[in-house]
Amino acid sequence: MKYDESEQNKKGVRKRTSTDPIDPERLVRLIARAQSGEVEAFQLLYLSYAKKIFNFLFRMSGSREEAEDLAQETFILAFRKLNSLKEAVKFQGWLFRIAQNCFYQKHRGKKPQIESIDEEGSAELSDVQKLATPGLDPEHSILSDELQEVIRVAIQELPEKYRTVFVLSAIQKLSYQQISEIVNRSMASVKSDIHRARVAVRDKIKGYLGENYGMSNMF
Amino acid sequence: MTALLDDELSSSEANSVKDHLHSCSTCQQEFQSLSFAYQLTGQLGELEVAPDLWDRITPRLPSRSFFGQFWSLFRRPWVQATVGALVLAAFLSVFLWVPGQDQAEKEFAEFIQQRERISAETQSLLFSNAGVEVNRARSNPFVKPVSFSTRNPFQE
Repeated sequence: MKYDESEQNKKGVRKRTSTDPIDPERLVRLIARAQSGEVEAFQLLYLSYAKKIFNFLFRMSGSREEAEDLAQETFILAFRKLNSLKEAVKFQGWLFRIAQNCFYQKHRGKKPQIESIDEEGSAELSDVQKLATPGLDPEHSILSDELQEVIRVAIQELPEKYRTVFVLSAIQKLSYQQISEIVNRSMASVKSDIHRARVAVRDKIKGYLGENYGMSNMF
Repeated sequence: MTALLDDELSSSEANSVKDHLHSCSTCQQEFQSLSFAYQLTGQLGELEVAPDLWDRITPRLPSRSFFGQFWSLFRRPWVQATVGALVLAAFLSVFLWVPGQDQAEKEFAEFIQQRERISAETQSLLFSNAGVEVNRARSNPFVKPVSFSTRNPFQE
């Protein structure tokens, strides 16, 4: 098998496209207004970042309900502590750090919780996933759901330290620099943990797919 | 390899890794394997946030105190600049302008006092030598008119 760059592009390896959903000038204005107690301005910030924070917490906790509770705590705490934010342009990283701390605080000493997608919100999730993977025939769709469950479990089974950087990198598409600031660790440590997490997830998927691993007709 | 897949390498670093991948079949297989896992994790869908989540957050948001609002206002650059300019102006007026004015007033007051003192001394000297009593209320019609001593000091 020869390495082919064009094939990588064709298969859709996602480039990191995650940036702040609001342009910096507007962000600074909204944060200044929210800092002076304007709830409407904070609501606009919430609308821009809620999905990212919620999905980060969902991938961390493995539970929709818990992710919602933690997202609530995150935004309430963010509003309370908004005056401590020094640089408005770093709002996204600051918010992820609060979300991470909320999660760690709740999960100190707990084992990761894994819930089946079938148990809650399965219809909604599979619809979203089907839209995210266009052109799937029903047979492949079932396989894709199974695969997604395997990946989800693989992420949940990662140690928290690896899971955080993996979710921020692979799912949220943040840069190593941003991740390093969020988890307050060196870039070298972040890089190394992301690689270990990637290999661990890969091994889980490989273990599940066996000989089929790497087959392009999975997509 | 992970950094290459995460698009975190400079173009020269990426090129050197790619060159190696072209020449090393073991690394190439590892890269393909990791890349496949990347594609799968990239296919994970995102959940939509519950529409009522904000409604659950709003009642728990604390209302800002007056001091908090004032402090937030003060954090704005234009407010800081205005306050800074006012403080500077106050500083200058206290240490430069007011002392100069005080000094001039003080000197003027001293000058007036000195002039009055000299004037009074001169008057008292003149009138006492001449033996003349001046009634201060001479312009008052209800008081006796000015009276001069009838005694001639030179006739003794």
